Amino acid sequence: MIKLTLNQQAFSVKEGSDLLALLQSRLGPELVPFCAVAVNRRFVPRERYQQIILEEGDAVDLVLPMQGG
Amino acid sequence: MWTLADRLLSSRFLLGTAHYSSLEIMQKAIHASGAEIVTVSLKRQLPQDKSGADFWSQLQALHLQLLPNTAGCRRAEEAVTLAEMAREIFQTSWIKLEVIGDDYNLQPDPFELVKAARILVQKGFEVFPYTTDDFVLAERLVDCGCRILMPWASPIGSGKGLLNPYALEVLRARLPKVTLIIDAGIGKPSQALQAMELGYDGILLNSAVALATKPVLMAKAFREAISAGRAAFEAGCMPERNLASPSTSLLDTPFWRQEKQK
Repeated sequence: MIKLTLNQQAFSVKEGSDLLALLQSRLGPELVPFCAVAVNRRFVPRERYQQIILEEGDAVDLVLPMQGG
Repeated sequence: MWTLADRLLSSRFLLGTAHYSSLEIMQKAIHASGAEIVTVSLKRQLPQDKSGADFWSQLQALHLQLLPNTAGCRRAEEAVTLAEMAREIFQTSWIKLEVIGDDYNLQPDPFELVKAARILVQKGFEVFPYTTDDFVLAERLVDCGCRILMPWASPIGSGKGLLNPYALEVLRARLPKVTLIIDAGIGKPSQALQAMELGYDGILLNSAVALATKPVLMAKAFREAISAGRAAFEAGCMPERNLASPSTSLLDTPFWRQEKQK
């Protein structure tokens, strides 16, 4: 297992896990199309989720739409 | 009709989607406002909280132009990343750029704002920078490629109206080709009308409607005020003068005497 953070909360995933698998497990496949992700403060386009293999210490930020002014 | 960032619009009223007591009230207020553009934001979503998805579904049903913001960002890099995330989710290159320098009055950090604006324009975004009424800062943003500016009237959510009308008049006079939309600090329809009479192209507000006692009625009031202010600007208001000038000709009226002025 490797340790990383998801929205600043400590999290563990299996070594070799990709970003898409993480999102599907935490959000559910139905919400993945509504989210956007940054890894280590860098935006990751949706089409690259499966290519990103998570590493120890990665900081994953996941956002969804909300009301705003 | 007017053009904003290559989009033809009939309304000069941009409305925020925050602080409403319910999504139903939000929808009704947006409808009453006639706004064709609404602002939205992004937040870190916890897996057990699906309220964001509900909001998104309701918003999509309105078929409006969305203007995402970069609320919560304090540095250019954060704002750029959030803007890219917003572009992917909301499928628009429009971004209301907020880079905050002070937690008390939420005023922009001018240095990080210009830095972020330059990067985002280069990345193909249509940048709507939330800025102050400082003319030099406005010029720097225009130099970066911003063709729209959103100067504040007063701090976000304060409802204080136009605290520095002189500065706002200067921006309008010195930047005639730039689209200027007042953003932040509007509390009453009369304040929005005042800004429109100055020649501003539009008004963006949120709290003034959402926190009103009757948000839907207030949205309608703002709609009418913004429309009236624009009409007044286009009609050309009479000049102010210090001396009275009678509306009715007083010559030959009963009891009128031409007295020597003291």
